[in-house]
Amino acid sequence: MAATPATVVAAEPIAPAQASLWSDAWRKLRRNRLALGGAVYLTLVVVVALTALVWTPYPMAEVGVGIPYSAPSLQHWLGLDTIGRDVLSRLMVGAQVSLLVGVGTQLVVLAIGVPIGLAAGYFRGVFDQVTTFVINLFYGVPNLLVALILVFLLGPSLTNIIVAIAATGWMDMARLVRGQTLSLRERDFIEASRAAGARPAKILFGHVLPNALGPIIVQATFGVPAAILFEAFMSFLGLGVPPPMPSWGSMAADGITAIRIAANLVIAPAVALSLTLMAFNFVGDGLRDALDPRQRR
Amino acid sequence: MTAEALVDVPQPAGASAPALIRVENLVKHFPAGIGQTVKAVDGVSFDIKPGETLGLVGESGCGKSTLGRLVMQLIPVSSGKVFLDGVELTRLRGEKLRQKRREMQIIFQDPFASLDPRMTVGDIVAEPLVNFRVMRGRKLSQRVQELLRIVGLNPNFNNRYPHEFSGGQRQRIGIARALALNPKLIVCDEAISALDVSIQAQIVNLLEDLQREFKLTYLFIAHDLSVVRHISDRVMVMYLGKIIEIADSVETYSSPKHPYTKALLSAIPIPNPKIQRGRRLVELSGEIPSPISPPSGCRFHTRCPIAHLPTPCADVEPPLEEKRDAHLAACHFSQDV
Amino acid sequence: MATPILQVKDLQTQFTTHDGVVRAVDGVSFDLYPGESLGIVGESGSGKSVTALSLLRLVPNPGRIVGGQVLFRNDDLLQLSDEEMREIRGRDIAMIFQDPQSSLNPVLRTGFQIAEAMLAHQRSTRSQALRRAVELLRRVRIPAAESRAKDYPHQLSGGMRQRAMIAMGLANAPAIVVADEPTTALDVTVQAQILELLADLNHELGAAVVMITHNMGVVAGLCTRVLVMYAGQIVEQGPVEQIFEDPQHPYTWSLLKSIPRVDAVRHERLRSIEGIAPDLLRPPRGCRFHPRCPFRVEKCFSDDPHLIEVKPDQRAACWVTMDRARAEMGADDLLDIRPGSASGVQAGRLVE
Ligand SMILES: Nc1ncnc2c1ncn2[C@@H]1O[C@H](COP(=O)(O)OP(=O)(O)O)[C@@H](O)[C@H]1O
Ligand SMILES: Nc1ncnc2c1ncn2[C@@H]1O[C@H](COP(=O)(O)OP(=O)(O)O)[C@@H](O)[C@H]1O
Ligand code: SF4
Ligand SMILES: [Mg+2]
Ligand SMILES: [Mg+2]
Repeated sequence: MAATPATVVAAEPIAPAQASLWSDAWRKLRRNRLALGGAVYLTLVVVVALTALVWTPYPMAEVGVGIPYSAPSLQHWLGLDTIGRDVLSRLMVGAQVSLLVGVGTQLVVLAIGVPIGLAAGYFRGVFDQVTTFVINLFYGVPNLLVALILVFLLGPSLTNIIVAIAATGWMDMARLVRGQTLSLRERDFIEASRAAGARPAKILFGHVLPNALGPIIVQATFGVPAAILFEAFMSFLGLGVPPPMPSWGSMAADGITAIRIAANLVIAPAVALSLTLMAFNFVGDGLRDALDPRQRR
Repeated sequence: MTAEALVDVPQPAGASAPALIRVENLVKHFPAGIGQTVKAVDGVSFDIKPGETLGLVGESGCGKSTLGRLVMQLIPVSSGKVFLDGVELTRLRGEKLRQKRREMQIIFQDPFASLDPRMTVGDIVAEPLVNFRVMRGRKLSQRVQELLRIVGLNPNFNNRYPHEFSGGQRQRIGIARALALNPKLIVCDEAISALDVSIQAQIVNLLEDLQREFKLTYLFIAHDLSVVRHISDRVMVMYLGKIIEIADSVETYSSPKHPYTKALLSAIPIPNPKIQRGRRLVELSGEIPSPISPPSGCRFHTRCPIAHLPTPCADVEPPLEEKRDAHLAACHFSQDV
Repeated sequence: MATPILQVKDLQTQFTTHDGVVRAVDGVSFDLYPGESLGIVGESGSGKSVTALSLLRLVPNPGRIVGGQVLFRNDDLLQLSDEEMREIRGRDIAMIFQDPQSSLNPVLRTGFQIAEAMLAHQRSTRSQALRRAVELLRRVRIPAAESRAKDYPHQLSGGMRQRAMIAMGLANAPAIVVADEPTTALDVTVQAQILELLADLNHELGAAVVMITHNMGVVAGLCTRVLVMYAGQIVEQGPVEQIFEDPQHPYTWSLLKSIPRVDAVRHERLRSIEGIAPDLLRPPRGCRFHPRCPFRVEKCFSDDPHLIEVKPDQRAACWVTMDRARAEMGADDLLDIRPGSASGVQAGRLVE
């Protein structure tokens, strides 16, 4: 093709520099103290959980490293539990369980919910009708109840807890993604992409998904603490990860019998759990505000 | 010639008609509630010759965008046929239709909505080339820079995002994307309506230059009749899903053969106080009827200043017929206009 | 013409954003005479709407009027209390917006809203006001006004809603009607009807009309005087016929040249103004139009021109003006309007 420009290059100045959605969001997030604090705390939890993979002050399952019910001391910062195991060591390993359940569930939820939501919203038709029907059917049933029943049926294990939560969790994600897709598919740039010969997969993963990513991330972030809380609750009931693997929930359950003599056995996992839940919620709130296009600037 | 060589152009089978686009009896009805349909496009036939600019005007809601999308086959027709170079597009599905998309492109009205905000300008312009695997790597980025230069943008801007550009510049990006595959037809759906007048002139000039250089054919949709007249060879006027007049643009404007066209023309304010103050507005009574239940007979009869009621205007539909050389109008009394 | 009914003096309105201060209106002064029809034209972002909103003290956050005076019947509107200002709005000065949908309350019947507007400023009974509302709707040529008065705004078409807005604006027989792009969202046929209506009201009721638009054709048909705005300032003003026939500011001249006209010879190339309107956060030094001006000279890069009388009643803010551009720079022979294309003096200077 002849390279002769049809017109001269238009005057140089482009519109006033504006931040893109992501860098704008990052700037706003940084200004949000709570979200920032939450993120710092969560980083710490991740570091602790990773450290526990290779090192804990004492082997977490070893009984009788000291006298049971010992109060916190220099050797045992958080004291010893009912059968003389080091609480700090167990707390560190418990962080692994919480993060695994929280993040693992959301990964499964994303892996199932996002493609289904995209397909339902974009192709409509029978697939959409069936999905919507199923989602609406379960909408009236409390998710917690379904998960509880599933754990009963499948038996207590880390995997089963993840499966039980994700079994209903994907529906909320699919609903969200479907709604986003429905509104995005009508936008001109999607039609332009179709006119430019893009195949459906390219449209969905190249255009629709990146533009729906904000709300998806926010919802997934809020899903993490919900899953962690559920696991703790199940473990508290004795339906969680099987011993000797510690979980913050089962640690609290063990400690509750001794709450009069050694309150630290309940307080330590409870505080760790609450802080983690709060941190995820603060980060989620921060992300929501930062990624909300209606609140730009 | 890089991209050109790779685009295989299937020769139309029995190519007797010289038209690039031929539309026959096109109908599009959208469902609107229970048992009702919006008759957005309702039996439309015309053709577009290679290299010409066909203007399409009419009030909002008359079906212009729907017609443009039907021609591009972005939405399925309810009935009727669209031919591109003798090939019936309305019969193609899936991959076959996708391959045809190389030959037709569209430019949208809203320069803010028609570019994916999450993609860089370079990726946006490259998308059609990537979709059809026309080229890749260094060649691709060279072609993108060339396209940006052609539409008058700094080629080094290819790493920027759309929101960093003004409305007119974004419209240029959309034009670059439309040009990428060397299409034969470009549908401009209100491509300049959202721009300021001084910027409109830039884009109109660019479109004219590109047409000359790349032998493009335009279907130019707009509600601004003065711009349409400026850019079009022929003009087509729509009212409630029907074409009511098609003619050479100078002729349409100097001697319209349909009372609706005449009323539209009289309503455009001319930027010259001496002329504008002396003009008489052809008043149209009432409002544009609903496309769900368009009036019987001539759809314009409820507002027409010269209608003979009830017969024939309210019960016989006037055919779109030749009133003079290549000047078609759908009016029983076009001699009275 | 007698004494002005409204005098705007050195109006300055700014928006403080986190990127800096946007001087949306920067030293605008003009007079409005009783019963006249004044047009304000300019590209989007030139400050037309903010000027109008400033007159009524309706500038939205984070905007603030930081200087100037708006004199109406011996009062400076900018000094009145909020209560006094509310009295003026709707009673003495009415405003009509581009989007009537957003200025009508969707859950109240149209006639009722007009009656309410009346009752806010006049003493009369509700049924009297409602009857007047129907009269007004008839007045703005809404067919079947009695039943339309009972309709909710969404039941009306765009054109009818705009008529209803005008009816509401007229409810208290205001002395001034400010219309901000009242026909931009409408089809040409409806636009023509609304413009005719506004012209009638202007003549019959004697209300002064301030017509804000980007459409030169609208100004040509309706207005007697026009202000041309560019980047927050008035760059030219004068009688409509004179401005259209013999514009003296290069921006006005270019704008008129860039419009395709239905009555023009076909396929004459449009003369576009190259470049884009300036960013009001960092307006160019000197004349704000100089980066796009074909006729700029050295002085334009550094010194801000002020409005001066260039013809009887006609004022322009330009160091060169079109008379000189024609005589010395061959403006009429210019094929395309490009920055600095005619002067030559400044070639290459723009970059620094
Ligand atoms: N996807 C759709 N579903 C239902 N009705 C539609 C759809 N698209 C357009 N319409 C209707 O079809 C008519 C024509 O619309 P359109 O082609 O957009 O008109 P124009 O471009 O001339 O303004 C309108 O009444 C519009 O409401
Ligand atoms: N709410 C706002 N915040 C920041 N800037 C604004 C706001 N409203 C208007 N502006 C600025 O004021 C300038 C003038 O705007 P406006 O009067 O609306 O232009 P016009 O009506 O001529 O199109 C614009 O450049 C715009 O950037
Ligand atoms: S056919 Fe009749 S109603 Fe239709 S435009 Fe002609 S005169 Fe008017
Ligand atoms: Mg349209
Ligand atoms: Mg405005």
